[in-house]
Amino acid sequence: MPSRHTNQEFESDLAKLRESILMMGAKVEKVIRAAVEALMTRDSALAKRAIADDREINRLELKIDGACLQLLAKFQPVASDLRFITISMKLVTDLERIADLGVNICERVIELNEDPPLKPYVALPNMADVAIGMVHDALDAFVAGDAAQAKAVIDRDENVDAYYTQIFRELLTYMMEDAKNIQRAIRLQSIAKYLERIADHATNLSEMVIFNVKGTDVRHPGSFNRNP
Amino acid sequence: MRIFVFAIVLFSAAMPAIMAGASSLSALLFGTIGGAFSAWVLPNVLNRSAQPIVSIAQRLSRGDLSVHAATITPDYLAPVARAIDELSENLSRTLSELRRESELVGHILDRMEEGVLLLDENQHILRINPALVAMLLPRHTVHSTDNFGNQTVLEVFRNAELATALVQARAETRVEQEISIDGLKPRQLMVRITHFDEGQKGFLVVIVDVTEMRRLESLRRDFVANVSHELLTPVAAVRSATETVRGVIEKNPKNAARFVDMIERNTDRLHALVKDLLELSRIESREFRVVREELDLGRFLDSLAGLFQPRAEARNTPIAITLHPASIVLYTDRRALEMMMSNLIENALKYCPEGSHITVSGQLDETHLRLSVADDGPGISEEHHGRLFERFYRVDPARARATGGTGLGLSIVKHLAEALGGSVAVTSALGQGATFIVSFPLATVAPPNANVS
Repeated sequence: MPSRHTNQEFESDLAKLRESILMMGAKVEKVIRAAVEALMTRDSALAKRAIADDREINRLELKIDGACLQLLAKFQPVASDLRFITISMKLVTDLERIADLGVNICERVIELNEDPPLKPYVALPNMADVAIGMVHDALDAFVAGDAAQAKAVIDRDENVDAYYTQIFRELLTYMMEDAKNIQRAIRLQSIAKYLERIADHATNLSEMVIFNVKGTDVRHPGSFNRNP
Repeated sequence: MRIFVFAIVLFSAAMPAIMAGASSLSALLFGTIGGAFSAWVLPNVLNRSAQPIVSIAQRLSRGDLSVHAATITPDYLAPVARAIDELSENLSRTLSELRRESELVGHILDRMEEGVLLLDENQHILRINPALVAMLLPRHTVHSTDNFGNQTVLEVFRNAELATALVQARAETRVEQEISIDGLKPRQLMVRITHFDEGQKGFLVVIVDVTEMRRLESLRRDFVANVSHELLTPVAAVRSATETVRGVIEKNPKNAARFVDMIERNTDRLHALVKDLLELSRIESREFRVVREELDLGRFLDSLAGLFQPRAEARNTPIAITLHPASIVLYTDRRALEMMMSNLIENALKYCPEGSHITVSGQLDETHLRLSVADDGPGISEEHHGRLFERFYRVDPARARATGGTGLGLSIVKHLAEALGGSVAVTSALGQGATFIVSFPLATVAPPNANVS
């Protein structure tokens, strides 16, 4: 039986881990929001700033991974605590990938801004809205420990896929119309693909939230799930 | 237990009797009765009579302040009862004062435009006001702030910049930082974090929305840049012409006239520009006073159009006036109206090719008076409509300069219309002419006696 002191230290470390993940999530969300805004406003400076922000996110990923390993080694947690720490390690990987995709969008935006706009973007911002909303709500579900909310996020992935198909078809017509459009259209298509991947990662996040919540263990009540 | 006590009492009661050497039997008897009374009867009697007081005290401690102890019997407990009543009164007064104060603080927080956030030492939320929720969670529709208690800022708002500032606040006594919230309506927020007591146990976060301030700052920067540029252009022309005149006057005095013309033209432009700027700043400042008087719109427009007649004829652009109803009497500021309408007519004359038509009309309906200047000139593409009334905004910079405008006319019209309680709008499309409409709600142009009826 661990001493009271150790227990408190463990609880406080868990709380810190949770805060770090939320911090990372907030930064990731900011990067992808900035990426989409840079696309819509043709703001290369904003895109460059977002790319720079990604370094901080990579640093946080390493920090959180290290913290998880240390928690495992030091306290050898079981049940829900163990589950929480292991999914944390997976969560940060997905979050980091989402930020990377945000960076990819920024890179395409900077390239796109060198030419006049191909067309007004209609479906793309809507698609971005859904994808970013999924990341946001997956993190909300993580905070609230709400499996139903996480499930709702997963259901929205279909919408994003439908958007992707629609955008791809539309861009194809532009490419067939004029070969000069191809370069820009391919860049836009890449952006749509990145958004679709972001939604996939949001789905992963949600799946892990569900794993974390379902089958909550009674041996460590209230250790991190505030509202189980 | 009772027997044991009884024995002790017996013993102690017997002691003085023995010591006094009195009859041991009577002493023993007296001692027995006294002992029994003090050890068993008295507590029971006290217990029973104190019971009401105990229950009242218990109700008090549960927070029930409606109790009254004064009615309690027997009489010897009356002082205790009065004390309890006093205590309960004091307590309820203090409590209601505290409650009022807390409600007051709550009301203040609820109605503040600044966002306020109170955090404990672990940066868990203690108190939060609706303004802050509206700023940080623009999509949040629930107006209750109760459900945020005891969560961390990251959990509720998930704003990395705010969280970073809070981390910084642990080490510093005061953090001031601007953060941006993106989305449909991007906002700039100024965040100030201080420790709310000297023991550094908690944090007070105050957030002010500075979006509008930043926008005005950038407008001002643009304005200063524009004004300097606009002023510099004629000054440069005057300077170079003066230099040339100096050279020409000796060798070829005949040619000098051309450059003097140029100087005059640019000085005029400079003069018009400075005059417009002063006019604009006068309208914008509080100095501008609306002086309303009665005015016959038909006669007013006729005389105004008369002023433009020579130029209209020269450009073969007739100015027509229509009124509906045929006679309209207004109660408004003549000078302001004159300035607005002449600016609009002048613009129409300036930007329309020869042979166009200009229609000035006044229309009165149940709710509004609309004054409009319409032309069938080249029109203005829709993308410019939003910025048309900005100072120095040019649809076509090159052409505007050629026609000699100051770039301030429409801005003056807009400010004057607003000063008189009205507004100005434009409807136009490329190739389809333009119509500028100044409209006033009826109340702002009706004579005072008409207002009463």
